[in-house]
Amino acid sequence: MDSISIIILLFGSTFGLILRIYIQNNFKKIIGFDIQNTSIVNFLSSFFLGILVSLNFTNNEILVLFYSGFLGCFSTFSSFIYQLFNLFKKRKFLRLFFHYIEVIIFSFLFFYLGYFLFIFF
Amino acid sequence: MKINNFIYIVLAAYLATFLRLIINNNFFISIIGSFLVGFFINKRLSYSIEKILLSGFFSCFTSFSGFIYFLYKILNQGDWIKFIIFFNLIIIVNLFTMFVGFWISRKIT
Repeated sequence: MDSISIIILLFGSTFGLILRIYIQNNFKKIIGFDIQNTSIVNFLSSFFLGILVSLNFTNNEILVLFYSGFLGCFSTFSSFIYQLFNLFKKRKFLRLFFHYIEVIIFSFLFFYLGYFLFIFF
Repeated sequence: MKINNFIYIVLAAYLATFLRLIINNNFFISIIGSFLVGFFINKRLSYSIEKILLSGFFSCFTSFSGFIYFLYKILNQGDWIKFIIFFNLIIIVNLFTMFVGFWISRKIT
């Protein structure tokens, strides 16, 4: 790994981290309905991933660095599991079930939105 | 948020990114991350250390987009049953691992 790829990686991870903390702190007032902030971050990251997959990113070295630096720091799997764990601890099983279904449906919807957006245009 | 704490969060994120690239296996990464998050949420940490660990280190260590990309590669083969089994299995295994970590940290203290 040479120094330019390390610089791209560090820059992408810093940018993703700042964007995620900003969205997690500030977006609660703007969006009214019951999708939590961590889920918004994950849906946005799957949208970006759809764009990257439609660009066929495994052949391009800079896009691979963008994927593992920016998207790896922007999306968070452990907070998603932590939300499910909190609902499990409060014994809200119906909310747990709906959250589980909602996250997978919306993230694949956003993924294919990004994917077909770049294939058609 | 003080500027000092923010520098620590960024450094933790760099460390997590390099660890993720070294291990390079999404399933092990998510299991280790869930176990350690379950281990640390039971302890009484101060606000800044909790932010550094949960929002800086573990969120950068585990990645949701790797999970979605793994599911996409299965879905691209046209195998719906394998997709549903893997998706449920990964989330249930991670939830169970976080519960085990929570239980162990409660037993120790």
